[in-house]
Amino acid sequence: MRHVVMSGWTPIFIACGPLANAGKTLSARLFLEFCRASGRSPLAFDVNPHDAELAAATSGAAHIVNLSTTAGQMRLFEGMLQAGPEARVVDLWHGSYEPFLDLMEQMEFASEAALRDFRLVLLLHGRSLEDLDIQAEQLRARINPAETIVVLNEHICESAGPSFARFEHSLSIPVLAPSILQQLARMRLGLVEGIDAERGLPSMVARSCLRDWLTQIFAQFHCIELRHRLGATTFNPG
Amino acid sequence: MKHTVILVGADKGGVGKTTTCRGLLDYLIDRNILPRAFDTETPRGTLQRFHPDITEIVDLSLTAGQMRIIDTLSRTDVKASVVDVRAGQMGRTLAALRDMGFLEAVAEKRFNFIVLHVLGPSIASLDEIAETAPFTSDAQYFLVKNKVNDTTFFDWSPSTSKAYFGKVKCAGEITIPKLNEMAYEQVELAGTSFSTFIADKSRDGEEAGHSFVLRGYVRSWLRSVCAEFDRVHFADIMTARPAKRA
Repeated sequence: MRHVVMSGWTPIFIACGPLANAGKTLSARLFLEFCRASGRSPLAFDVNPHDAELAAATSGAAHIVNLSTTAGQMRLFEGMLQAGPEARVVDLWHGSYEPFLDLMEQMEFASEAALRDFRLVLLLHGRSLEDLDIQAEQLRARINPAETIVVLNEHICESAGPSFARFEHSLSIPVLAPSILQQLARMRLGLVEGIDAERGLPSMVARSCLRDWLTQIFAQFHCIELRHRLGATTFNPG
Repeated sequence: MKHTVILVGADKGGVGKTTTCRGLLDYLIDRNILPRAFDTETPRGTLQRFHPDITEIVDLSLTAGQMRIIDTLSRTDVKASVVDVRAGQMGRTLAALRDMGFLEAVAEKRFNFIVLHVLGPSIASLDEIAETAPFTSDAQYFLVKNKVNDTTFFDWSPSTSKAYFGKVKCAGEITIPKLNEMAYEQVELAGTSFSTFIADKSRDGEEAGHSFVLRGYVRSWLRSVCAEFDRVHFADIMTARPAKRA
């Protein structure tokens, strides 16, 4: 029987953007938890040595990297390219955004990643549509091949709404009640852990809200994954 | 294409002659000008460690060493000879080239002659320029500032600069940019050319497993070095057609 085989999928997700407090850590954390919930353990890097929020929120699952040192650069770039099927997720501190892009260009990282069968996915964060438009264009020009996904984090870009349709690829993060996120932090729970009836959030309503929220976001990650895997199908004559 | 002899020298050690030679050899190969090199750091050699296939160790203070370079210029298919002159031997080497008639042959346009004078960071280096002036009237004379190890150069005042540079016909100034220390160190340890390191190969041609990041640093550094040589039209000087002999 003839059939088509979907390609493997080893993405490098980089949550990035030139501004602080734009939701990069939340996106990185969501993708990390999406991988874990799918039974895969990603390699995670927190590129904020001053306030390693991703590492803290994931109980040290993310390696903390200081990009201002050569050793830190080696740890990050070589870590991202190390052989293995695990997805990679990077939470890029806004202070390292430009140096990171410079290094990517200088090292021709995107080409090398493609050569080694990694899919580079840049999750671009920002606060205004205009800024995101400019930044997305610049990213596409500077980092190639890579997919730029503009993140509509409704905690930050409240009124953006349908205007995001202008972007070829976008990821929408709806609002979650701040009290739920605060409670998760207080109880030191992961996002997926929070929906567990026994060990998760005590409130059934909160768990339900969290589950719906995660479902909406994870479904989008799943779509991204499927798009990539189906986009690189190979014909198997069987 | 005439044969080009490129003398890389300085009167002081540790100013980066060999690094300049190594960058130059990679540049020439990249521009499809097959070079050979002579390492005058006898008996051990430094340049030879990085370019063993094309480098020969010679003692320029001996006639045999001088013959090894000059008498083979017309015979070889290779069109560039890079000579890494031992520290302190620059003036003596130029005098020897004059005495054996090589500079006269250059004046007759039978060979190209390029001198890369690698400067040290202090004003003492400027005295060297005046010393080489009598020998370089027919040469393309370049001053090289090697900043690979972050050397800072003495800031010459216009009058000081004029006093020294007025004596030589300088074709230009070449700056070798800074290279990340760890990357430089790793290439030293690998003992290969910069381009071999970038290609992630060992001396034996096997996959070396060098750091991706450090290779990236070396790649962009070497690009800058090549851009510097291009800026002063280095390859054009070498590939210029020979003048017809009377």
